[in-house]
Amino acid sequence: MTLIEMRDVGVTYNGSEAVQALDGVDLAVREGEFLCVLGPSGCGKTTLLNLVAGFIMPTTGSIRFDGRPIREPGPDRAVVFQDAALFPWLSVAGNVDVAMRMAGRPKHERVQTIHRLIEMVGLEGFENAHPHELSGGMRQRVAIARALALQPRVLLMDEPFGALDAQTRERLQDELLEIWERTKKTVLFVTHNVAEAAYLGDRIVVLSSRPGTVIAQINAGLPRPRERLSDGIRDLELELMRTLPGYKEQPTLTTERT
Amino acid sequence: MTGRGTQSWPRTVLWTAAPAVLGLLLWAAVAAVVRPRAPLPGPVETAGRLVELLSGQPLLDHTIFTHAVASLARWIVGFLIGATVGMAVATLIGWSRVAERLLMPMVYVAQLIPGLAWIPIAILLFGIGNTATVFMIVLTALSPVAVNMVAGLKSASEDHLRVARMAGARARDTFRHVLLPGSIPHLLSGLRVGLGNSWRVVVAAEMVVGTGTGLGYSIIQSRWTLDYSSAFVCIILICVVGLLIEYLGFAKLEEATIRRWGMVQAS
Repeated sequence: MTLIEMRDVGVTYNGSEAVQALDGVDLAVREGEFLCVLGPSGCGKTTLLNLVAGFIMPTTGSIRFDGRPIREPGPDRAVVFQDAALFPWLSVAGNVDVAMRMAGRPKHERVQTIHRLIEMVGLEGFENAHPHELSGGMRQRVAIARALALQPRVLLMDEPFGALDAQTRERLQDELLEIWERTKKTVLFVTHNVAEAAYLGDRIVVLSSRPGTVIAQINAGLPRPRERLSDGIRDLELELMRTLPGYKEQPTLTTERT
Repeated sequence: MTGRGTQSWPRTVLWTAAPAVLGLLLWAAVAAVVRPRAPLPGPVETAGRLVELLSGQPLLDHTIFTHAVASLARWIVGFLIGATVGMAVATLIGWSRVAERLLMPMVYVAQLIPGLAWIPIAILLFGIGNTATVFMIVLTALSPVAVNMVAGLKSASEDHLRVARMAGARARDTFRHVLLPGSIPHLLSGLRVGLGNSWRVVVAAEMVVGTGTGLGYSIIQSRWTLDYSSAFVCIILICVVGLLIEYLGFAKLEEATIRRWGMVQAS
């Protein structure tokens, strides 16, 4: 079933000079799917995510969520922001709680949910810690817990692991996959990292830059759990790289595979 | 770490005491030079008078403690009213565009008026006495609190507001859970500025509005009684209160809040 459907979507930002961020984007996201949006920086990936979140409206075309046009943000489409965007004055538990409070959830439900989610993202014992006491990876875990607390139909993730070191990033990727498999949420995951897209996505949508248009949609077709260094992942990475604008064939890569 | 962190405590004490000693020496020198023409008290006479007054000798019919408490009470009452009104005004401005358009210019303009400029109006409205003094303190404390809190309310980050929007928060909840807590570091600096400014105004207002008690009143009355060393004692007490506001009151609280609110990088 299609959860999100974009038809001929274009976004133009009107500043001192008009910038066309997206142009003619057609995209369908299926329910339960892990979809990665891959593209170089400045290609409109974040714009695409903000459209689905309802933070901005398309200049042209239409977006439907569960069959209805998107008019405003809502808890059915929770965002995990690039820099976590936690409230620094609240504890870990407080950050998860306040999202539910603002969504109007009753107290007993909030109390149950907080502990379940903090455990799910592996932050037991840090309930009372404040964001400035946490590492970047831990902050993103809180952001994921907060997003899940809203019981969204889709998780919108805007390069959530982009600022983390390689080891932390890989660990969080694995934990995200576990959470995804447990909760069956649809995930729309924006990244500029080819390896990340190949490792995570059921499907990868590749965007070109300025204006952002869909230049490829690739089915990963790889079984899970995936091996990071497997041939299947490497083939997929290479396939993705070939579609990216400005890619030049590198002989070392091809010889490495034989 | 170099410098302060590794300094041994005798050096720390030395460098803390040195400016005080220098100040006292300068004071003594000026007093010695002026003495033939005017009875300017030096540090030694002032210290003697301080001891007398602290041991309960009356100054203008009251003990020095009564004067100090009178000033402190006016200051605290005026400050509390001013800060409360300032916060209410800021909340209104942060909440409604119309209120912002109407009130913000007034708050800005009020900030430009020195507290003492209100003296004629204060006396006109409330007559000579305590109420007029408190009125001026209220006006002095109000503006910095309101201006800073409004700045704090406006400082909310786009992403924080988006968190509220994605949760489907009502305007009231966005205000309560995002804007208000986000404004606290700014509010604290507004309160600190308001507290310091209003203390200065208390002392000055007491000189003009004739309150009968208070440190400022005692200083100005020493003109008639020629009791200049008591005036100096009052000035010293005023400094002490000022220093206490600066270092004990808000500095620590502000520092802790700023760190927690992530306005500086915690190392």
